[in-house]
Amino acid sequence: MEKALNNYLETIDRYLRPMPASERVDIVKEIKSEMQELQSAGKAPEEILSRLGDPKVLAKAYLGESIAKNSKFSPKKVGTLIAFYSLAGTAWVCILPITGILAITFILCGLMLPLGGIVKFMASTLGFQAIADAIHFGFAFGEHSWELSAVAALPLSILFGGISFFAGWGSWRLSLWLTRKIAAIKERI
Amino acid sequence: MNLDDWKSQIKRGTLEFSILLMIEKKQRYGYEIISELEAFPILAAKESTIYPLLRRLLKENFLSSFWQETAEGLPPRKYYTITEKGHEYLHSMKEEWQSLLAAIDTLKGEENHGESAE
Repeated sequence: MEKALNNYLETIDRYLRPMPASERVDIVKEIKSEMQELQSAGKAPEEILSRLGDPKVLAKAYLGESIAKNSKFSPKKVGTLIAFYSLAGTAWVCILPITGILAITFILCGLMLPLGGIVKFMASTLGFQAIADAIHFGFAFGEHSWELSAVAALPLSILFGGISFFAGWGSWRLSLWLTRKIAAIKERI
Repeated sequence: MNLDDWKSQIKRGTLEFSILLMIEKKQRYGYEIISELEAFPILAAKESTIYPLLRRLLKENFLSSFWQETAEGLPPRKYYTITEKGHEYLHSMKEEWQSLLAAIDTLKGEENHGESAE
């Protein structure tokens, strides 16, 4: 058998390592059988390989099915799950917590800012100067900072609160979208 | 959602049924199933879909399999046959399929009621 075809089978075998050896042998033998079938039909090794596609995808499909088929917990299954998720891409594992935390932070900021602005404004106009002074609004760039008056703080806190809230909302939608995307990928296997 | 998404969902939902129907008629091997399904674009599926699906049907005891040596120059083939449990499963699937078709027919009929009443 051609070297390229053998390499393909070896790659499959390597990716399937979390599965029991007997199953692995059987899977590889079946793919090899199809390769030989195609060869005897006159197909070139390149054609055969392009037909079978990425060995990683094929192996992942087997691993995906074997996750779906048994719901009982076992060390073997944990191995299979780990193999599936490492193949599925670790990028999601990093991106999702970031978008999730951003969403919560921005939304909280978006709610707190206008609330603070309103309290400061109300306290200042109603004469509770101590409360008004306890809430600070301002900008800081490096060593420079500007403190806003209660009157200026009200519209600005609402404006920046709104911006923050929408940024949070966007992150939240992005998190949802990513989660759905991953679920869809997993289902497709 | 576009038409291709919908078609791939139909494929995903009916492939198991199609494969069981094929194997019910006669024992078949994996590549044979894949190449026969290629005749129907709505059902055509790649190795990475069919082989794992066959494997799952084996695990669930709807199918059984055996390796068979073939004529000179051809590789041994892994043949699949349907089990008693598979027959029962397929029987139920056929009933569900009929009720789906009937439901769709009814819905289509209601939609075109004005025209078909002529």
